[in-house]
Amino acid sequence: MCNNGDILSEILSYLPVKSLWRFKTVVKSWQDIIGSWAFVKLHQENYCNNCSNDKGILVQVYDGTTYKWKLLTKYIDCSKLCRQSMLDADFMEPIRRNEIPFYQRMVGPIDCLICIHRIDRNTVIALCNPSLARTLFLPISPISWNRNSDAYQRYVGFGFDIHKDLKVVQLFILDYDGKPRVEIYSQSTNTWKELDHEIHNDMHVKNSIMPYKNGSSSFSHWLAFKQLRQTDGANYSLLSFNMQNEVFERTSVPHCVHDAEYERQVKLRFLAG
Amino acid sequence: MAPKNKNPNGENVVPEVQQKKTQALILKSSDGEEFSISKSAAGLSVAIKNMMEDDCAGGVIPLPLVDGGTLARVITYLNKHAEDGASDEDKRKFDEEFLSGMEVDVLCDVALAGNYLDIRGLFHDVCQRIVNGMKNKSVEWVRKTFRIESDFTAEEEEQIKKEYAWAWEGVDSDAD
Repeated sequence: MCNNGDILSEILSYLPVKSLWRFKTVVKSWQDIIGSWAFVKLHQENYCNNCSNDKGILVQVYDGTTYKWKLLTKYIDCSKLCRQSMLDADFMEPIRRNEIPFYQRMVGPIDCLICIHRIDRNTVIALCNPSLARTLFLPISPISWNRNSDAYQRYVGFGFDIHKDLKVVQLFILDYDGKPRVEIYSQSTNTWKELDHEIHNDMHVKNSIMPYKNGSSSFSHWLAFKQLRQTDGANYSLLSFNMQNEVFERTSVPHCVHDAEYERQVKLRFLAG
Repeated sequence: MAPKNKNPNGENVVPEVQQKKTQALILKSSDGEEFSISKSAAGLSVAIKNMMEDDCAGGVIPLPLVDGGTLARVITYLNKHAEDGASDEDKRKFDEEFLSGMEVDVLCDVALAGNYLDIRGLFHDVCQRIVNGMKNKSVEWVRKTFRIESDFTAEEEEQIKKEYAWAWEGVDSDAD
């Protein structure tokens, strides 16, 4: 019964995470199905998108003895914090001794996935489904950049286009004026490409902003600001990247926000409705 | 409901649109049973719709991967969903009752047929139904119900169970 592998994957992909971990011991072929990255995508479509409540929490904690970040998950109906061993494995470059551990950022979750990356350019970006303990490592962008010495900030966003292709966008905002650099990765081609864009030289970006709920996963958002003259404060806006047509869009924010002197005095969130 | 059209002799006239909808075609199961179904109901299956557009087999569509019993169930579903005037609420109630009496074997057959005939709504509902029945069950229940023989050694199984003990919390008893 149900010996059609594709149909079986589909059926199992409607199961909650807790059942999946248990049913990995039904038979080895089920363990293989549930452990595959293809299944992570199916589960995201069939379970995560139809699940109306938050079912678990994710804790990211820095371990001072191993110099690594650990990810821990807990499901609301389970009594214990369940550590999933795979995730504290060596999947990110270990943070070096004496290095401040905060050079690593976590973006998400969007559709059950989180993205973990360091802020320096030539380091791995990891996309991770913490519930199923599956991680996808993106290839490092091979695009050469002759301004390596410049100081910059790396921001990463991810989402899905209409064909369910996973896309990851990385922005390098230069500390000194200069056109930001944008590169985009597509999972279907497994390649990076540089993107021409309209972001101005003096635009700065802070804080990636998560969509209110799943389903808005075709956009990545950041709080952006443009430093005006010292006395005038900054000019803030919402910067969004559309995974569909690969262009940036800007949404203005209420005018009084511009009085805020520093970007850390402004926070932006999405609402339902 | 729209008032019925009558011709000058007082007979009911079926509007042209509806005539087109009620045209029938024949679906033939793997074991040779034939079922008559309206084109509008059959068209809810993307696969049958494509076959109708290709106009194959002059009104008889063979479905070699679906047996008669399963096809009868699928047709019941399609007829309800093609019914004029059935509200979404009616359809939801129907789906609930339609699936609630089925054993897992039958549900799996309907899932296969729903996938093969590309009826997304049916396929989704059946998967959801199968999963609702099994999500709180034990591993042993799943093996028995799906007639699967474990290929784990007792030690391997114990090891995983120890590591992910939280996933074994609050499992239903196998008694019911």
